[in-house]
Amino acid sequence: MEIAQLIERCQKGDELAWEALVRQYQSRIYGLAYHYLGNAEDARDLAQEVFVRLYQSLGICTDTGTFVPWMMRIARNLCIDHIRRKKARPPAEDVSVEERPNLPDQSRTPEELYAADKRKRLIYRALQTLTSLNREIIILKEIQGLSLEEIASILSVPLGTIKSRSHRARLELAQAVVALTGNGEGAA
Amino acid sequence: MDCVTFKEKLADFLEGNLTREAHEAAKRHLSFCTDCRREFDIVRGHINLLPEEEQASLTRAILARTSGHACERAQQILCNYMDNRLGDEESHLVTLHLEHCSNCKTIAGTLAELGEILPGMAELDPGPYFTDAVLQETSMLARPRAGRLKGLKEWWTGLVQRPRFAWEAAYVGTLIFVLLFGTPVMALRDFQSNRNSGFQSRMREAVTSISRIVPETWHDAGEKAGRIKDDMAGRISERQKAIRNSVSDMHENSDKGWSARIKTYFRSAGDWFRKMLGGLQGLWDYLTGSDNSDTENG
Repeated sequence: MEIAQLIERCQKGDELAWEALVRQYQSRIYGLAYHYLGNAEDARDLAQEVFVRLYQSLGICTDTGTFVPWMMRIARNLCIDHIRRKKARPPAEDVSVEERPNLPDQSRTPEELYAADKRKRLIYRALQTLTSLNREIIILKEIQGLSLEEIASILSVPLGTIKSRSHRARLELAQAVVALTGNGEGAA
Repeated sequence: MDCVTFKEKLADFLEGNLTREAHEAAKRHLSFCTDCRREFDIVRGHINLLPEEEQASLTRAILARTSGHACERAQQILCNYMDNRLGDEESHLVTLHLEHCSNCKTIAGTLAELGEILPGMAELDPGPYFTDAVLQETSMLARPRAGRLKGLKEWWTGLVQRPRFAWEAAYVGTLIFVLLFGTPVMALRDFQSNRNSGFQSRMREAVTSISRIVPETWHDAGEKAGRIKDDMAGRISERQKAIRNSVSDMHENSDKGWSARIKTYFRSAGDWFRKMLGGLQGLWDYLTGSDNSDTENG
């Protein structure tokens, strides 16, 4: 089913359509949140929050053609807010394993997430060495496949800056990957 | 031609500046002198005395003393090269650079690899419980509503498409008409006209008071507005008068013809009733067969 039809059904309160929408985009939103936050648990909580916001704001989504960039913008803004909050407020002391409720253990490390592909894990680590703007450009353009115009709109940065930075960001990432490979981390 | 003469004339021989006799003599010398032939091949570039590693280091040394390394320039346009966005000449120059620069070649290879791997990193599995958790969260929220404009449009479409809409619209229209112009049989008709006259006098007073307050530039406008208002009020009262007259004429006419109309109506209703009774009688006779048997018996 096309995304426009899916959204229209969601706006009419069709729970099945909403479930289909969640299933269709949850991996993407979770992937985006994970690349921003670098923590599987935080990324999952934030991805849930993104979908709650989407559900509440579906009524104002009139242009279904820009649904994905709009969803990415919501996710990105929530990620940035989360990072700022975390910086301002250090994390509370960890709860001991015995005190935790009996929830299924879903927390996974980057190593586990990318266990199948060591090269991806290396790229992820190289990504962390970039500046925040270059990292965001890589995440939104190269990974999520958004256009330069959409990225400029989401980041509120002039299009020319995004154009010139996108090549630089790719090159820096490649150089970082080469450097990490040279350090023997590629074989890890 | 001996070896010393050949070496002296080697440059002219390569450039083709020798006479025919001298050229033939040089060729003859090359055919039997191995030393001169080797030198000839070295000068022509057919034999390279430097090993490849030393060639590269020589190039780097020369560039370091002249224009500097070209890697920075190559890497500036490397992404465009990988995306095939360079012109033929620039693309050829980058290709040549990559053939001799292992560092840039590695980076180019990594860029190509990233182009294949990065899109595959867009999606990550959030785990088996994620969808259920989201649906549980959102099930407690109010259903999403369409935007105001869309909602208004839907409400209006639903309202217009209702079967009773025409009746309701007629009712509302009549109500508005009565409120605006009154009815000829209205018990408070006089009150309405008094109220209108009171309203008119109040309006006149308001316009006069405004004209006192506002600056002189607005004074004329106030007077004009007053005149327009008076004119409008006069027209409305004329229209009301005409409607009242026509309605009272209708009432008078209808009073005269009322009894005649009732008589005609009851007469036609009586005729219709008698016809219907006759028809029913015939049907009853047909069903019971009493008429036929009477005829047959008769």
